[in-house]
Amino acid sequence: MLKGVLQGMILQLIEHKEMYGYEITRKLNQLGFTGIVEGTVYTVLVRLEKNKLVDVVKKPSDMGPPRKFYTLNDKGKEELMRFWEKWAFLSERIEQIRNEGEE
Amino acid sequence: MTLSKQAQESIKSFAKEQASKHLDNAEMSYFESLSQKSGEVKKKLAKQMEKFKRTSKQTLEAREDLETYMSDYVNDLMSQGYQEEEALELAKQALAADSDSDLAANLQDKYKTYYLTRSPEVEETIGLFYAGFMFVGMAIGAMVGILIGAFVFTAHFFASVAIGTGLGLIFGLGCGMLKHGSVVNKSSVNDR
Repeated sequence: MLKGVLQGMILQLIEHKEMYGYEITRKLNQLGFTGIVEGTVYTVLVRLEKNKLVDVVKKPSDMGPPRKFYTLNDKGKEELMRFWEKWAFLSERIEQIRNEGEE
Repeated sequence: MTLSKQAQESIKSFAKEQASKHLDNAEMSYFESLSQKSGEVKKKLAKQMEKFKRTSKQTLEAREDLETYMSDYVNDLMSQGYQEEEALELAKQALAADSDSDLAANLQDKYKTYYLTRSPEVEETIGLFYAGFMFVGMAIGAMVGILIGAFVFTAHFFASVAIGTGLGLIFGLGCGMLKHGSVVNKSSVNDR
């Protein structure tokens, strides 16, 4: 799957509620995205943090090191808006191509 | 579900090895997004990124982050019925940073572009310089060898000529390399 689309989906999930890394992977799996490699989600999360699109809060975990919980910040919200604009454009054009083929 | 001490250690050492690679990938992507901006802005931001070199604290944080994520994944796999060892192996495969990272791919592209855009004239010039210097070196070496063999080591005339020629060849090759470097440097300055 295109990394850009995966990033958009992750941003959208985080916008709904504060989530930790593997919780996002699990949620995507539940939604039927079973082909997503766990490492890809992790890399996207590292990138989101690096590009300051998310705020991170550490909370203690029973696993050892504290867990990072992600929430969307203003920059992330802007990025998410841009993603949906691109998505709308893309899906509209794809639909257009499909309809042209049927004519 | 609690993981065994051995599994925890394995996750720790894996995270230690892989966390910085994941950071590298993320950093490179940031650069890619910067590259869309003008050259000046890119340079400025690249300088800032230089200052933003990973501190030990940042790397440690990335390690801990990967450790937790991996532990969650291993637990999840074990709850699906995998043995701890199998789950660990699967997690390692899934979470290993891509060896052909963005950084490496970018570097390969640079090399490809460099070698594909080299002009044949420059190649020919470099080749001629090598050949020229080597012949000149051999000639000078042979002459010096003949003179030394004729007047100094008369008993070892042919050995002197051979050694002189060999040394001349090496000298010529060295000069050719120096010229090669200078030509490449000049052509790369002109390309900028």
